[in-house]
Amino acid sequence: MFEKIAPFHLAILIYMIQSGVTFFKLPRMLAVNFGTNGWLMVVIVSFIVMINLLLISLVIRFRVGENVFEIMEGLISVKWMAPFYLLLALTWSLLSILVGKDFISITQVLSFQNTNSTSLFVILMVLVFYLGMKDIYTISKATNIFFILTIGIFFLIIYHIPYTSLERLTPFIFKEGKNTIEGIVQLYTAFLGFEIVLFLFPYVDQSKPKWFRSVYYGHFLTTVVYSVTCFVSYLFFSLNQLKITSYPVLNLIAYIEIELIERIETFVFNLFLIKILVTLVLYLWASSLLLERVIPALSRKQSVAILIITSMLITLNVDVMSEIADWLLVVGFVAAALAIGLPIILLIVIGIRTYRGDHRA
Amino acid sequence: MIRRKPKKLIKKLKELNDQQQSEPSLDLSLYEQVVNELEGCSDSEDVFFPEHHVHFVFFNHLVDTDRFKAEILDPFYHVHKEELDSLLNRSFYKPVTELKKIIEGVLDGQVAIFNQERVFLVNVAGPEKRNIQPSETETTITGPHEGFIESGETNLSMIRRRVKTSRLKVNKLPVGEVTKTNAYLLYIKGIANEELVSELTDRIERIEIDAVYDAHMLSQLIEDQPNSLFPQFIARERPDSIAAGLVEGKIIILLEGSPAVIIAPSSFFDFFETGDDYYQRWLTGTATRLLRFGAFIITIAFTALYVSVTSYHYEMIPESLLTTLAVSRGKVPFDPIYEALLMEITIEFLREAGARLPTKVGQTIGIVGGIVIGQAAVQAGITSNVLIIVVAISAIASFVVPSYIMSASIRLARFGLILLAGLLGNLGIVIGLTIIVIHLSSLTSVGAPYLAPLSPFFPSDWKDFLLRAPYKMMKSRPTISRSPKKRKLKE
Repeated sequence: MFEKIAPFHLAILIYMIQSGVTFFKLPRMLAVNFGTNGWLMVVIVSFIVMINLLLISLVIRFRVGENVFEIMEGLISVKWMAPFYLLLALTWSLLSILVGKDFISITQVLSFQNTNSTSLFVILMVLVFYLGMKDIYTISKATNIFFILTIGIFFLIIYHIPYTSLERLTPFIFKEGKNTIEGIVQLYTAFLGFEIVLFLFPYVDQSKPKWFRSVYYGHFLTTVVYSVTCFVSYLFFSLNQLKITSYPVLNLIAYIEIELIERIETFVFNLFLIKILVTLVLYLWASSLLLERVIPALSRKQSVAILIITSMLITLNVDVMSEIADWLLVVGFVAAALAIGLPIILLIVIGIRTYRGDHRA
Repeated sequence: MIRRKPKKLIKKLKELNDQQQSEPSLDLSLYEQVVNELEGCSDSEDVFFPEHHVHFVFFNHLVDTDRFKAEILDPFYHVHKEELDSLLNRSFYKPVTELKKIIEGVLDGQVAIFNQERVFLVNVAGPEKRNIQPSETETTITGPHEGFIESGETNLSMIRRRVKTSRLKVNKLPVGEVTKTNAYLLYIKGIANEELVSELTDRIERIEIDAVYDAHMLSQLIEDQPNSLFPQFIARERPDSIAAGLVEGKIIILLEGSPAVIIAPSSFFDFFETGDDYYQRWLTGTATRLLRFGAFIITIAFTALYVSVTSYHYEMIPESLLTTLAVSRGKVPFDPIYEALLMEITIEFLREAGARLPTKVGQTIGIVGGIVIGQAAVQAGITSNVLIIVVAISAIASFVVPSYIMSASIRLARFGLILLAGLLGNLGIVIGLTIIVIHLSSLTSVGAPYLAPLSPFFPSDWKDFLLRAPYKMMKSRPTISRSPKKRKLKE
């Protein structure tokens, strides 16, 4: 009875996987790449992501098999699919580890200037392993609580309304931007995470026929949080301020002062560990499914441990912020390509199988 | 780790055991076998009436002497030989043929009557028990005051008097290889989930242990994750709470000799509810509940936050407060983490000493603790005034949590958070909270999610969660009960 992810929880899960550490950099990234009124681009890219989601929904609607593996292996045997699975697993686990490194590097700058970042990273990985070895229902249950603990941060934005000014928006749209294409790719990667639903759907309570709408709701929530925060940032800071501030959202939060407490950004940023954790764990969870498909003898604990250790070894020397950013850009680009490509490949496979007359499972 | 016997093996062992016990030896009469079995029990009595060839075997201290005299001894004194058969045919003289049942009956406070080859058990049990009194661990202000006692039968009668329906079923299950303590599994047929009933029955039957002395001990033997810090079944000591549990479709486990009664399945948030919530006005009940959840957050995180802020994040303190804190901490030679641990451990000493000592001495401990720790420690410069306030508020908040068992678990978890805060500041607190959330999310109570109705989100149960909604709105039973009759009232 309880062992299914309800659509409501799926929406939360999607929002929590999507939103991550990029949230803090987003207004700056928009200002640099798109210039004036860059916040509008969030809505535009969100619409492109919706099209991507539509592709995924088509895969799920016309699927021939219980899960992605069955769809693929109906055409090509697991033996031939293994390298592709491993590549996918490696990309996602690398993305996961790099997002973790990115978070830790900011944490180090903010609070632990004298602490070795590796030790902080290892602590984060222990947490990732602890949640990652649980089953998907437990991960979903924990995510709900994490959502409740973190969603309040968004409402802190209300505090800034009296300090905003519409004049700062300027009447120009997308002027003074540096690189629109790179900006779109970066913004697209900020929305990534929704593609995990391709692996999640067998675990979702599908008793309600329109359950997939919850994926759109989750994505809509991410869009609202991103666009409102960026909009307020554009109202609060000038364009040039946004361009030179590393983490504008953190500066926004730092501005909040109440009688009992000040500089709450130090706590709020740490609270983001929880959101990062969900992103990391879900990518690793999907990667572990892929790895276990290739080597069925592996248990969940073993596969998660192997993925973490392998990715950590590959990115061992990547610890400077700029290096992490470069790696993230490349791996993020590959992950974005996969998010678009994977459903297209699956749709082609489904098309071929339907043409050949395979029965729907 | 508790080992549980495999189901099939238990069944086979039981059958074998029953066969052995029920087949009387060819050489010895039942009376002789009983006497042999009770050999060495100097507290057992064997009264013989030579004129009727009748033996009474019993434990004097387990029977009610007056009833024994009136219902057994006197009739046998006055009966004629030819009337003996009609006397033994009385309905409360239960004929038995199995050695095992005779022994169990005698140990239960019944009198075994042996007349040639016939054996009867007469229930004149009257063990000493304390009177029904208000529960000390689960006190109430507005509701009924009576609490359970150590007698299983009295506790059963208190529940039956409140739930007057023939659908209230009771399964009796002996626990403990040596003690054979009776556990009673209660549920309302048609409201409780039968699968849960059989799952719990199964778990109790599979317990492999010599003795069980208390319901809290039993609950650890049948929990889903016995190694967890957090209790997965709530135990209550008041019949009104138990009656409410039964009506909600929960299953109740009562143990002979224990005033605590288990309710299964339980959610984490059940540990924050009391009878008073339901007897007060709904708004007051809701406010009190919110207060308790606030207390929970303070208990678990307040001291840790102090340690974190004073060790790593001074910038979080407003300027007006900073001076006070700096003056207060100026004299203290220790790091905040040591200072906080020192005070927290002292508070735990005080609590433990107060709990074990007689009430009058306990008060002295309170005064000594209050003055010596509170005033002298600050004056001596060992600790700061602000920390004393923080620790005191945390301690008071921990006692706002109504369940002592849960409160103790939360207090222990708090120490982990303090250590992490001392090590990593705010990040440490977040890491600690994350570990707690992940652990709580992975817990289940007879398969029901422990954090329900918050996660998974069961909106219909929110009327009795953070809120205590008006009774007109509370029309459904909790989802975790998995009751076949989800809606209340409609038969």
